[in-house]
Amino acid sequence: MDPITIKQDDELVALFCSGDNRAFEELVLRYKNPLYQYISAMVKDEVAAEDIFQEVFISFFKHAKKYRPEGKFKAWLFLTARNKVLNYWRGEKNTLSLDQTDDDGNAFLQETVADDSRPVLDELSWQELQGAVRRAIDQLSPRQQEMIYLRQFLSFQEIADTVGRPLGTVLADCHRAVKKIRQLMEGQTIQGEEL
Amino acid sequence: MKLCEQVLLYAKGELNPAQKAAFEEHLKTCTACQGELKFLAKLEEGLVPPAAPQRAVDRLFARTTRKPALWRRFKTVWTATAAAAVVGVVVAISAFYPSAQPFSAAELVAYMNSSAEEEYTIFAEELTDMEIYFE
Repeated sequence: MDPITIKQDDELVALFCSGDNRAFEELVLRYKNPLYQYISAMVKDEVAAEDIFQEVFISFFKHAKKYRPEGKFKAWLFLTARNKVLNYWRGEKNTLSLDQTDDDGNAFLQETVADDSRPVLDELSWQELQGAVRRAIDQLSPRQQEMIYLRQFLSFQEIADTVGRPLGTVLADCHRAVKKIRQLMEGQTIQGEEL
Repeated sequence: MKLCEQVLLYAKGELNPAQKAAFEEHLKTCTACQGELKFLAKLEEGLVPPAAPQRAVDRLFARTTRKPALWRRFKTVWTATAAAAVVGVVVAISAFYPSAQPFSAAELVAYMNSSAEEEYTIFAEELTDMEIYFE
């Protein structure tokens, strides 16, 4: 195994700053998939997603020396991506906003969905499950979608720091999003069964 | 924070040991949290990120770590310009002297041989002069 692949993010950043381009490429390979997933889910446009994806890493390539090694490289990367996504939306004069709120879920976790999940969810193949999850997430508000994608790769505290909202608000948003996905997926699978 | 409200933090492994132990005790009897955890696991499974397009990664590397150095790019441009200039001169000469024939390979070899013979003669004469001088 190439020793560079087992190095911590901050070590790789330091190596890159000292002139080792392999360290930069390792960081790209390490985060390319989650970062691309997040960006493409947010902008819904393949060409724009690829451009933003490249811009995030090029920004790091040019300004790596400004990064402070605090073990938060991943959060820094997603924050940069988020800012570029917001710029894209502003440029597109898109009416969507990550700060818009949804109507449901007023009571945080008081409405925890009872354990009545239908067995059909368990019977979905992996591909079917991915499709069902994607369709359900597409129906969420942008803010909820962002929570779901960020939640995969960042801790809740890191998400709170990234989006600039209190931890409790982030947890509430995420819970509402998960709850809505569950309702939508169960609806989808029931519909699928009926068809 | 109520115990049910910690289900997301528990699923992500973000509770401290004491909170985790308390939540696991609660989980034994809370069917809502059990269902939530089961669904979260399913959601994780369905959210495996797709691979970023390879062309995007290739373009990124081409614009950063694998971008040719400035002098190499200059050398490439210079070589291409020089080659184009030579071709241009040859084409221009051909246009002005349409009857001119290029050297044949045999003529070129004969010229090089005669030239070498001439140079050898000059060198031999110089050597002779030097021998005379040292005597």
